Amino acid sequence: MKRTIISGLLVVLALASIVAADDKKATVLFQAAQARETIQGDLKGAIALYQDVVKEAGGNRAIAARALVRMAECYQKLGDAQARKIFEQLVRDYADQKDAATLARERLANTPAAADQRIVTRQLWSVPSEALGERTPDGLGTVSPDGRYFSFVDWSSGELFLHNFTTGENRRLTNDARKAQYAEESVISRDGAHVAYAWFNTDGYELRTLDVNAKGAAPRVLFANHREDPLVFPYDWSPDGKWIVVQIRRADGTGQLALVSTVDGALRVLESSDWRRASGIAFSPDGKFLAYDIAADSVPEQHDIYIIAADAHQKIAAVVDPANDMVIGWAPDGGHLLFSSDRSGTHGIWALAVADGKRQGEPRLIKADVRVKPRGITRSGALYFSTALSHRDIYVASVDFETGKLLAAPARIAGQTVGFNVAAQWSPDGESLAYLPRSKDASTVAIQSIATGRVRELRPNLAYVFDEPPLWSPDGSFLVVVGPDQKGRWGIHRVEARTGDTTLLAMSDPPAKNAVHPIAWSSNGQTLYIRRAVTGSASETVAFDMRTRHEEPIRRVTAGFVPSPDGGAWATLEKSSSGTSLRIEPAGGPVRTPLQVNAPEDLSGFGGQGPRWSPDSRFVVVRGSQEDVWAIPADGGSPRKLDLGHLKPANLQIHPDGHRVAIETAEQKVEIWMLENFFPTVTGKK
Amino acid sequence: MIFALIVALVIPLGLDLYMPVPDDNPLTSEKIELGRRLFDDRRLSRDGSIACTSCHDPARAFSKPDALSPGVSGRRGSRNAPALINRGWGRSFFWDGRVATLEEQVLKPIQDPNEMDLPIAEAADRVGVSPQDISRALASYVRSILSGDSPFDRFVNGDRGALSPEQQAGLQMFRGKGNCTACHVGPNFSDEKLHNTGVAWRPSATSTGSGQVGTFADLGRFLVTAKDEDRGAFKTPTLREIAWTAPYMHDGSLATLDAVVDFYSDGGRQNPGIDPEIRSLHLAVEEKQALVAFLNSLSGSIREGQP
Repeated sequence: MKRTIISGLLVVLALASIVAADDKKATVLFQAAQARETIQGDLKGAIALYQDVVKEAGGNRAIAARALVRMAECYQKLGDAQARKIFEQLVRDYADQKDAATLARERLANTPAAADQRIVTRQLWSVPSEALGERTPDGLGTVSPDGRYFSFVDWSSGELFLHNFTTGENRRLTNDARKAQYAEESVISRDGAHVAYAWFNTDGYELRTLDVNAKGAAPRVLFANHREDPLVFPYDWSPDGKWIVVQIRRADGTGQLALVSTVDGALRVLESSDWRRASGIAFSPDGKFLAYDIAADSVPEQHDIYIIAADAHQKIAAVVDPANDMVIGWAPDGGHLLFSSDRSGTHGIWALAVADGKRQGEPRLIKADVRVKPRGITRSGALYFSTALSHRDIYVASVDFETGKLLAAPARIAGQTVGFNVAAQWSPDGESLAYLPRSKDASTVAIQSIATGRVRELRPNLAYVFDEPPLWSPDGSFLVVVGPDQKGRWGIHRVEARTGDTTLLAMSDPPAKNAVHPIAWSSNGQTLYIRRAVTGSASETVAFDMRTRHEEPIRRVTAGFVPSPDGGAWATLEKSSSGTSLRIEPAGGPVRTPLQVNAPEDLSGFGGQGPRWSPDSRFVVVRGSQEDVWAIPADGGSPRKLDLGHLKPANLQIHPDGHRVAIETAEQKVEIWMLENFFPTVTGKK
Repeated sequence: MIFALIVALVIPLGLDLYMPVPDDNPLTSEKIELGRRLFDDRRLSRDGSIACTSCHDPARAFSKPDALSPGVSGRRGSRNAPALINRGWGRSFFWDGRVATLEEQVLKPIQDPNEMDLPIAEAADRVGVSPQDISRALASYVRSILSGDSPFDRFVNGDRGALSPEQQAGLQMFRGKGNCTACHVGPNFSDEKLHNTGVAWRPSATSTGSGQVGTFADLGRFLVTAKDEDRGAFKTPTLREIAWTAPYMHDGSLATLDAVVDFYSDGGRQNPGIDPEIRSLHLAVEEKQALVAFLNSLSGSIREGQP
């Protein structure tokens, strides 16, 4: 009896181990099939693997049902009627697998609701936080046509990388980044073998290409015309790889939609666009046409879509209406153009049938209530897009600069929006805080009352207010901001604090570049000190007379040169091989021997505005390379690290009371997602 | 059956490859050639004395050195004949932008009593071409008149020696302190919009200099729209070939480029509706000279008709 029981147990255990082994094999096969389907885009290969899953599933009906569902969807993408047979099999033979059976019934019913549920959204990758800088998502590129790779800039180095979705590895492509030289927008070629990217150096931008498979190969500089075409960004490759479509911003601020030859770098300007910019430009799969969107004249929030022939022989208005319509890309067969639009009241993905560069009929809604930043469409028809989950926000804390200790813990300001508030600045009377709520219109400036918490918004007549704390006038009646006007001309502008009325103070030179910034006021409030970019990385501190608008150069510097509030001194940071020096000079007096600061980390100012003075002019506040904040006594005492709790400030502004500080944090999370299985909805194929 | 060869114009350096051409009037060699003949055909005027070339001389960048060109019987209109170059990229036509297409524009001078003073039906009879074909042919020919490949174009495309140091200084002035790019932008140096610069404003004798009292000698765009904000507004003209197209402004009232630069340096002519981009620039003498030197670099090669 005992032997029988033991034998029985052994049989059960053996069977269990066989089942477990089969399960494991089926699971491994299922994962491989998924990768084949979604990463490699090999639908037929994936079908074969899903068939193996069903064979190996044994008694695991759940995994068998899942495999059948995926198989049917692969067939559906291929337009194969086999899909229907498999859905029918699921309904008939796998009724106990409720999720699979329900889905199969819906597919068979082909109702609009079912159509929407066919679309699958999947998160693929979270960009490492160390790769994100304050500039993200500017550095995100595109997916390769096979869905395997994604190009992006790692802002910790400024180099261009390639992420592998299958292995999770990041491979560095460039090796040229250094201070003020880095990669930006990139796009992978249609054959996946090359990447085109914008490369910034102190002269301007260049268009470069790289062979992604040739390790260590030097990049080709395809186009560089720094002086006249200072900004050039790639958007797409032609399918034959012979052209790259770019958007150029010229020295006068106007734009051009152009093709650059990958053979000899020749430029073909298709169309000039005054100050307006396209957000999306894409070659049709046959290479004959380009779809692009551009703001309607005088209505920057309303983009319309046009299709222009690559040989410039024709251009048609594809989607022109009061909505904001932006190009996503083309269906792999070229029969439809996908675009995002708010025409239904909320953002969604729409498709327009196109033949021979001309629209056919009206656009159809594909997926409602989704706003995507497109990153490419793969050969299998999957749309890759990015989302930015920002935790950039403003906190108020209280510190003792003498000791560096925290007096009151940081508390987030109770603004109208969470997670997208940047660039705070206290008013001179300390009763208000101005900041930029980035979830709103790009030109909105918010002013919050400290006493009541009430927020009011100004909308200066600018295309964009740059991410820099507005500078209050000494009497609090206006703010000085940086940004391009509606004609794309960068400059510093006066914005009335009550009305938002805007006037230009000083224009950038050249107007197309962001090359002039306010620094601080003179102690008598009549002079605004500004910084103008000169050449390379050098800039010049200039005294701007508010009454006469005359500019008097003061000093050519490589880092911020900031006057103390009492007008008694200037502070600047100077880096050398022996460390970072904080130089403090008496105003109007001879240059002192630089005050050498022994700090445990490399020091820098706060963005373009350099170091901060405390209101009593006793301390200079700087940021460390470890994201700490240091208060350095202007009379030469030891630096104090400020205790700001858990916060790592990207920016910091000191309240007139000398204790409270407004801290801007810069945590961001950027994810790459995939949206697939919506082309059957587009084409109507079952 | 005759097949018309649809032509693609050879676009000179500096201009966009895409030129809008209406679907119902594609460019063909035959139409362009017919348009060229009609452009010089004096039968299109009542007394047979005036052709399009009378006011748009091909030897002077299709303009004329008169402030106000004489029409039939010596009659004169109130506006200067603009240079007919690169109009294929135009978005509206005439100084007041009253017409949206070239096809419509080319027929107006024929019928204008102060210009050619001939009803279009009669014009058609005289030349043996239908009004629609006259329109399409002339429009096609005007589209084929292209100016580009100037020293400026060569400079911005990489030839650093194409502009002299003074001209380069002038270019910087043009884009910066001169604020010229507020309106004169793009391949044709025109935003194709209408602006009140004060050139038509006549301050009253009792005006204190604030510019608030006076009248417009020409109401400009207001005559088309009847909107107050359009009083005294005129279309931004191209600056290409500007060295050849004196005198300047909608009324030809400024004889030289120096006078034009002085006008803008002084802040135009202040009036109640002046464009906010127009303000005193206080340019120094050498700055003005540099600007004029730069403007003279905008003369390139003019081609018209077939490539």
